[in-house]
Amino acid sequence: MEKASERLRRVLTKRAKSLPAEIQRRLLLAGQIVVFGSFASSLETASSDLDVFCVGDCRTHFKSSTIEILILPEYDLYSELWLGSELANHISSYGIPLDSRPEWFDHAKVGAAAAVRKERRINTYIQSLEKHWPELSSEAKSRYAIKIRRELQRLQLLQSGKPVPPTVLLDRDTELIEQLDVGNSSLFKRFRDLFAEAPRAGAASGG
Amino acid sequence: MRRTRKKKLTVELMDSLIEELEGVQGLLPSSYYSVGDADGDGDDDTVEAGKIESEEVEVALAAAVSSIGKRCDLPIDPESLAQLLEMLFSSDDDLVSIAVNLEDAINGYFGELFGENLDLADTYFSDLIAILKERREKWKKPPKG
Repeated sequence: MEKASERLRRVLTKRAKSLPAEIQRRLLLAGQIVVFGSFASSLETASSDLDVFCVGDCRTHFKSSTIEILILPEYDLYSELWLGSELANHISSYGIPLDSRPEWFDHAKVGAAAAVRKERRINTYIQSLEKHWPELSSEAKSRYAIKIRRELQRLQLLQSGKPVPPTVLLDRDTELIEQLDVGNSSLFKRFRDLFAEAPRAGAASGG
Repeated sequence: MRRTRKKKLTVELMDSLIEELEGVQGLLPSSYYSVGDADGDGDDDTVEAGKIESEEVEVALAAAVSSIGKRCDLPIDPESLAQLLEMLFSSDDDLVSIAVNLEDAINGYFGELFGENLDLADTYFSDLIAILKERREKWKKPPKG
């Protein structure tokens, strides 16, 4: 049976062909390649993009409909900001390295700042949505209901010092969805009140 | 007659798109603004402008997209500015790739890690608006002959 890393390398090689030349060059020179997101959990769909993290010379971020690449220089990897971040902890817990396991994986630990950032982010989303509510289409409201519900789930995990799983797993975690108000009752109430008219995609939905 | 009407509608759509995008761009503060030599040390001083969170810009942009989508009565509700422009123009239009970069600058991985890149978003907004204005002028021109 084909190893997960071999399968992912094959997908990466195929998708990398469509990258702009400069991004291809940076990817070729990069090391410590890790695939994360839905592909790493074998839960991808036909429309999923391939999420790739690697170490290179300079900070690079490229996104298209088929691939998203994040390159960080080595010196960023051991900063408190990176090691405590939601993304670093997601990658180190759920990512699949294409070669050997990167050393920084052992130093990643969810920091308190990640939860604070997430809480501020949700607050700003809710405030902005309250402001722009009448202008949004019903579909846009439903999309934001799902987005905020996922962000509340992520907040709960980060507050408990746990890494955030791929989004598709978050959507399946009915236990976590049912306990969204635990510890964040006022934020949850604002979310519930705002999205009361879009119940299909709201807190009770699996997204 | 039909051609003239189509032209009029296209120009009106361009007007709305430009107006909506300028509205959202107007939320972005330039990072600093000059206040002249406030402390009398001989150098011009700058003050940090009012802050805005990227989430607020993202939601305002989503509202602008909803508004244009409703106006055009599109068969599918566009999920993003890039998708809206793809539906209005074509998937390989320059406007679409600029919109992808714009949305990424507002809500990309680097923003959450290293601070939001709203200056870059400002540049992309200006690029989009400039292209749309240029196209609007072409549509406004009377037919040759």
